[in-house]
Amino acid sequence: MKPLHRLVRILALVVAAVSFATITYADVRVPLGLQAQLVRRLAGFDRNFAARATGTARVLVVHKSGDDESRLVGGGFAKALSELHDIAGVPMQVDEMPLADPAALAAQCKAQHVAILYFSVGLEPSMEGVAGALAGVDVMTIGASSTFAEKGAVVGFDLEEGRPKIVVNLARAKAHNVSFKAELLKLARIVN
Amino acid sequence: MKPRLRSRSSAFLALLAASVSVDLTRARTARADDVDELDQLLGETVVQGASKSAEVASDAPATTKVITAEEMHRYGIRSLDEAINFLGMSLFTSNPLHAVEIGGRGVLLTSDFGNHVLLVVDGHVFNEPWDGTAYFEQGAAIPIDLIDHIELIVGPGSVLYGGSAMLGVISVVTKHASSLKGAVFTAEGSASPQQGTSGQLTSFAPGDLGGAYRLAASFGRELTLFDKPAEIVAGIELYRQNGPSFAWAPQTATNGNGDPANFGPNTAPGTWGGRTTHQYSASVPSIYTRFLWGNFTVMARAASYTRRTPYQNAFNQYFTDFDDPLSFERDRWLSLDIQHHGRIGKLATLVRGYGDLYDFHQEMHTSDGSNCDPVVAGTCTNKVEGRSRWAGLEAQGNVDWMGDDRLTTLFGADGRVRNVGGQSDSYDGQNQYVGGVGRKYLTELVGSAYAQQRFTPVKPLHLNAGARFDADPRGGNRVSPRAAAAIETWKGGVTKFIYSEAFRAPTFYESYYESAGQKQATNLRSETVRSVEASVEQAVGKHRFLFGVFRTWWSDLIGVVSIDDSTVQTQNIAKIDNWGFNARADGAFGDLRYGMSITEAHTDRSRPDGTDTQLPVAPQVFGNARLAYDLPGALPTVAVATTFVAKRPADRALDGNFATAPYAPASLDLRLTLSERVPGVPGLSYRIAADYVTAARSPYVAGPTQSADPTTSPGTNAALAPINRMTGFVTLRYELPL
Repeated sequence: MKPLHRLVRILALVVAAVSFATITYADVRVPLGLQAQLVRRLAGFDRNFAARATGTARVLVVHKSGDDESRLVGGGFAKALSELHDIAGVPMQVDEMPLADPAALAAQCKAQHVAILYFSVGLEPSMEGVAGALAGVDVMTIGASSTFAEKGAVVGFDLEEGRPKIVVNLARAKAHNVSFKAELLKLARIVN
Repeated sequence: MKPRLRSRSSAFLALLAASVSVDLTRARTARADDVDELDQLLGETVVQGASKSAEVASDAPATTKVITAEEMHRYGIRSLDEAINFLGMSLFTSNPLHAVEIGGRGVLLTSDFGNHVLLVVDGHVFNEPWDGTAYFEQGAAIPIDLIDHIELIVGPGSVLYGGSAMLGVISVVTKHASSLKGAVFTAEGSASPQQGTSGQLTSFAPGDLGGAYRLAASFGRELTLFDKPAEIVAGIELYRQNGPSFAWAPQTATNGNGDPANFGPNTAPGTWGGRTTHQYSASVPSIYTRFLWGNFTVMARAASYTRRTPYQNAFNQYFTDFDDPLSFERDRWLSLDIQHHGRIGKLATLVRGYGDLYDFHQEMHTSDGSNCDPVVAGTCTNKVEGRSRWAGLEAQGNVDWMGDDRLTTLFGADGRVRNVGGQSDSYDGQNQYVGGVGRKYLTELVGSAYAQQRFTPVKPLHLNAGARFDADPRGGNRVSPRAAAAIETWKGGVTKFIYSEAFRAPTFYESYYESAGQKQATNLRSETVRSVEASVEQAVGKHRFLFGVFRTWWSDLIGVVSIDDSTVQTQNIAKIDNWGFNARADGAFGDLRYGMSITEAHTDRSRPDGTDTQLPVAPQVFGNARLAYDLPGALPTVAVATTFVAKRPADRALDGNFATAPYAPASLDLRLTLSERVPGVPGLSYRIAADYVTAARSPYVAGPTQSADPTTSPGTNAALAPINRMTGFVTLRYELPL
């Protein structure tokens, strides 16, 4: 019985430790490095990207304030993207920040001519409100999962049967002056 | 064999070089909107099983092959073993008309009941601890409509998974609710004609057809529960098969008393043979469900697998009346797995509690009481019971030190308590107990700890090193290391070098069984394997190529030896030396999709007497090829798939003393599938397929003549079990959005 008692004690310790664990989200199913490479490529299929980027493509990565998971995923994407040096042939600058106020975010995107706005995990519940605040802003919004595209981002990523899938919200694309070529749309899953 | 190896590998390398030169040319003229580049990225497969973390397959520390649900549907795949044979790489299954056997890269250990390959479904190990058994045909008991994709992880995998992962790990990932989005109903039926003694197709009359059917329903729904995201996925399936009917050439036999053996009322005394119509069947009801809520995932599964084998043999059915439905095997499972994912700063945590109930029941019914122990007059039934109950807790941590997946440490520990046991009892014709052997039940504690370091010091170089320590009362303690490097050598190209080890602890039966004629094993060690491999993978747009070489050394293989005239014992007796190559290519030209793989190996088994032999049943050359084309509009997708296997020795070829050593011929299995949505009926789709096998015989000796005595019966040859050579099937599937 002693080994069993030991096992039960270990179990209790583990459960106690786990109780301190913060919430985590569904796995970011498409690895961040692959997401970065996909972003780099799909921007080239946006007819308006070069004009929006105006010489240097500014990428803003936002995460949920006070959320470790969200900050780590956002930071990981930012690092992976920075290592690629350019997006669709245009030099880039990548910045990160926590999401504070959707209206302030929209104003920042306009003022700084942000070409790509990436949403990290944890911001899914806020996406509809953020999308509303960003209405009419010339920016490609991208989320870490397909839920973002369903809730108002232009692009999201999903895994279908072990392979990455680009998810495009055509209505939001139009609202943000993103015009994807047919070759990309043929490869993507379209949501509205 | 060497000249063939050189010419095949040279041709493949030439093709690879041509692809690379095309790709380098393309790189100089790359455009921002290059569809090929995007295709290449979208064609990357993401695997989780090799490192227990999501990564692109080209970075993974193992040779992997992903089989998708869409491919399985397109090529008419109905089970895990068909997926492995028609769509996989380096792994192969062989069908003895009961549970299939599985091997890889030239090594297949016949009669192992699948205990050298680990089957994992959504992170839950399906191999049970009584005999290490996992099933890979319909007996895997996973509703096939729930499968999202299958990861074949080839090579020793004990570094993260522990015992039994010697040939590889097959990781099945089920669908998320977002892929199902409602309910799916499936009805499938198949038919096969009657076969003669030489495998000829003798009757297509409706009353003479054998067949199977599958009814399934699956469901997926995303929801919000107490303000947290949730989803439920569930599937239920019933598979039933009966036949086809086979004809068996007569074999004469006497029993232990020297009298003509009695094989029951369906054949003459002293003769085994005729036509079986009642003893080739299977029934597999299964239910599988997964519920996700916030940080928690709960998986539950219930299934049973009942089957009848139409012939007696030396490993799963030692005796039976001819064509007797009273002889059968049945497995039953209940499984529960609860997982919690969390994060504490940079540490991602996984805590998993699991529990399983498993039992095995077999009845071998015979009219010849001399088969039973003790001997009885008249009929008797031998009933074999096996049972295992186990529960455990696994805790795992994963730290991404730099936040960009370039330096990550995975560590974990698993503790498990298992109650395992079995017995073999004999009952007379009135179902009265007359005696039993081998009865033993005990409780064991098993523990393990593992760690893995992934490091990408510079972008093109991905390093992975890990080890796992397993403490198992059977076979002792083991450390299983792995070291791998994946180097992005040029655009789209990856070169891998992998060293890995694995083990299999002795089964309950191997460790503890004893009877009047068998002494309990002593100091039995775990079987071990060491492997080195190198491979080159190349991606060019939608096309992918792989060529790899491997070398493995197997030690302490467990077998039964005679220790004196009347007693046997299980001991560590054999070694295997194995090397070879595997290659695959797949891709698409517009709507035309293709794929192919080939594995060629050379395998020697060293016996206790110092002689080297081939490995029976294990194919040394095997592979597959497939083509599919999406015809436009309402016309169907046409798919042709084939799997092939070279000539190989039968299971009793080396120890049966037959006049001519029995070999199964080379074989080609061809399948044509048409699939499409039904025009005018939203949600309804069909699939029609026909399958034909060129060979008539499998590598399994069938009937009471399992060996020959050249002095008393010279010229005796083995009779090999037949193969189901032709099947037609239709699948209807209805998707109901909810």
